[in-house]
Amino acid sequence: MGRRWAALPLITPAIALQSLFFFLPLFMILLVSFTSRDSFFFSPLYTFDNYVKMFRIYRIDFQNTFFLAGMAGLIDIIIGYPFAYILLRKVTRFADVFRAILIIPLFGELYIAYGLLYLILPGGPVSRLLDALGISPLDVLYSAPMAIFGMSLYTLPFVVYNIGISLQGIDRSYEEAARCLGASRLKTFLRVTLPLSLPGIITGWLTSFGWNLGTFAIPVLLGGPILGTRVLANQIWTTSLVTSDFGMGAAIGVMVVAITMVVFYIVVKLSRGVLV
Amino acid sequence: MTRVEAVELVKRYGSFVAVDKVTLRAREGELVTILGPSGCGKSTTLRMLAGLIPPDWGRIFFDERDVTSLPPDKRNIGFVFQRVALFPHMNVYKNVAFGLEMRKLPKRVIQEKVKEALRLVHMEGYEDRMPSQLSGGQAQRVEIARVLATDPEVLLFDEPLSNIDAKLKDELKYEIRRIQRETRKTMIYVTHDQAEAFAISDRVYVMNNGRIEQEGSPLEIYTNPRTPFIAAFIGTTNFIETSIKEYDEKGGIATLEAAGLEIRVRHPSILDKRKRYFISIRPEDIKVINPNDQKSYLNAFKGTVEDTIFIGTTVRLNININGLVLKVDTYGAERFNFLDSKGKEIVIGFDSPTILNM
Amino acid sequence: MGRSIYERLSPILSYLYLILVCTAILLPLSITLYRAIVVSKPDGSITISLQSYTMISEAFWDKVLVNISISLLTVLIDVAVAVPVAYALVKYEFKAKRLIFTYLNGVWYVPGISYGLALVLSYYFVYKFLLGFWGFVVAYSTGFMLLALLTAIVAFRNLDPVYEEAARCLGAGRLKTFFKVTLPLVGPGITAGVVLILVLSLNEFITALLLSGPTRVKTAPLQVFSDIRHAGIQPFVAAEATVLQLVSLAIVILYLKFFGTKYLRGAIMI
Repeated sequence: MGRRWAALPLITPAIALQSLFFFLPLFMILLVSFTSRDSFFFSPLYTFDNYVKMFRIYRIDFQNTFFLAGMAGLIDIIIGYPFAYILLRKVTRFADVFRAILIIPLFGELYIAYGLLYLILPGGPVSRLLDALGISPLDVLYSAPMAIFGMSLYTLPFVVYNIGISLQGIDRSYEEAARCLGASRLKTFLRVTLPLSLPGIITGWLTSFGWNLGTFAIPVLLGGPILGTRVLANQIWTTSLVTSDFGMGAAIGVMVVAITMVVFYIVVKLSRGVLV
Repeated sequence: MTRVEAVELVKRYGSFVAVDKVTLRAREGELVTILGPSGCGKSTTLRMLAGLIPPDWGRIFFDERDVTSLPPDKRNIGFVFQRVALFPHMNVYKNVAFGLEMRKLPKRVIQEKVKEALRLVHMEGYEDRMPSQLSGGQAQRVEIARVLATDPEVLLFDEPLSNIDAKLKDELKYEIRRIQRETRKTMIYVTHDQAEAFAISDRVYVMNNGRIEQEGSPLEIYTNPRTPFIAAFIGTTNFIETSIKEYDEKGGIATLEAAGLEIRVRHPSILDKRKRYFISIRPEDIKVINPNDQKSYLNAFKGTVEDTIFIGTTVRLNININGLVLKVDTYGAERFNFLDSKGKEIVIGFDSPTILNM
Repeated sequence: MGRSIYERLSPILSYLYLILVCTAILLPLSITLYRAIVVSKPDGSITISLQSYTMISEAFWDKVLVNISISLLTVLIDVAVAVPVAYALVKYEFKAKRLIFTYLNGVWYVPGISYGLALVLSYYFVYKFLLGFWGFVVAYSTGFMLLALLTAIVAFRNLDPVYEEAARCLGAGRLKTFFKVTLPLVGPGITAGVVLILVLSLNEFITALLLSGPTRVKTAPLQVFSDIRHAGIQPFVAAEATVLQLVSLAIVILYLKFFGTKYLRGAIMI
């Protein structure tokens, strides 16, 4: 009936907003990624130079970023799975307080980085502790583990959400059936619950990975002078806005987008039909 | 008072025909029920009468006005839903006043009408309560008050009592009947509960598979069900598949045969000798009789009690006659005598069964 | 016997675990706050003072104001744009529903750093008029729209259509029904989206970092970042870092106090 078209005026403004200020800029960054530094402002010449060069010059940045984001996702799964499980299955009192605390990491990576910075600063509590143990704090603190810790704090809510959604989707009667068939608690968990929540684990890890590909403040402030600056987000910022090589910045930006798109495509496929 | 007429309403969902050429009528001030099992299309029909969903085909008239394409807010109807539909963010007063505010009545009039409507359903003094503070029965009363306050031309009830517990349900259905009598509004009531339908209706439409199978007074439908579906759906009955043995067009009595038994039936219309007929006889219409009284019944048979079931007000016997098992209900003090009659031989008698249309 | 030990220990261990993880989550904010308000005197004693907040420069507060105006405008635009879409997605049947939903969600999955650069380029080449304050508003509205959409979809999903039908039968037209019945009932759900957008846009950092160059607009988190880089770990920087976090926290707590977690579940919470 007429209702099929009645939706059109309702969705048009949103479509327009996203088309003009998301998809068009996305097209722009793609276009610019094919320009070289010299031709950028005047008659642009389109080449693949940036992409060819990128993998040579910035290979280490790709490696670092993947390593940090991947590890952070892994830690999130290890911490987040029990968290989601307990929150949904074990706890009734104060459950909403724990839920509310999970919003705090959404305040942003900058504040996480800054707060943790104080922790590891020379003269801070942790460094004093390490001093007492005879370990040089600078070696341990401004390094990968600290950045990974910060990143995993940042994306923990997303992982808990993804795992929680898949746990909620498991019919409790499967677990009860396993128990009645003689499986212990642990066996039931390992053979029934865990396999059934696997999609949540995968989407959780991918989501964390996708988000952390673009983190900037955490690696820069916590990762130390060598590791911290050699991540993709920092390179995008430096090449484009500091050294004005927009072509190269855009190329790295497009790569990051491409990778996250693949990642989230898998996430959406796996978690199909959660909302629409 | 308004006359409601629906002509050949059709509603399809994809290839599924939910409502198939339904024609029905409610006279001025009449209480008409659409009775049927869940999924038979009765609610869909009612929602089309309300304008909540457009029919694919057919027309709806209120008196002489064609309202088929009018939205619900232009039809001046009152619709009572199955689930409580009181707005959870408004108190009882605001809820009842809602329809009146939509009609832009002056505040003083609204106050009076709300009070009057709440009085009619015996809910005075609840004005400040929120819907969450009401019991199911109270909420449904307020719902009815909200509908009555707007003085609608037609009242439509969509299984309003299905979520209410049995005791209260009984009380409320007579309440609805009383209110309808008092306000003398035309009312169409949808339910799957035969007892509810029979208790309150002037007339009943029985629906099945999107079609109306029979229309008539509760008594007509109960005593003279026209199809096997209706005979089975309304009350309990014995179905017997028969063939014609002897049939005299003028005599008015046919002899049908089933499992070697000859069953005599008064037939209202002409029967086709080559066809097989289903007949229906209700358990309460079969009596356990004195063997000497056999002559005073149109049909009388000897049988063995196979099983006895204590139901409460009745004791039901399953009686095996030559392999044909009939359900027979016994009542009164004598019913207790049958409780240990299993295996005994008794004689039953009954009048003419009903022949069902195939 | 083992069973009873498990049953006795299980709740205690569960709560201990949740508290442990939540402590880690709260760690950065609490340390920053500690550094901002706890002053250790030369004699070794410790006092609490808000003095560091008075040392925050005038410029920072100006940026907080800019930030708040950007956030409020973002909320306004996102609600106005996303609520109708959510309504259409839930209430109407039309083709390509999933495709449209995915199209509108795309931005959420693109890292802020790439999105920021893409915006900067498009502002340079196409939308020159957006080089300034409105560039931020547009960027944030586009970037955070999904949050308003998700929460509104959840809200409309949870809304029983019987209320709207009842309103229609009582004589309310489409518009009246929407404003008097639908909107009040989905209000808390839509407010959940508002809260999320407020919180995220008040604290957005990476996209802002890229936009700040060409637009010459600086938001509060950017000021914090540059103060961290130049002034380092002084108490007034810690104080700056807590300001918008505490505002966000207050908004979240206030919302949860009124409406609970009900309307956030399924959108961003379990």
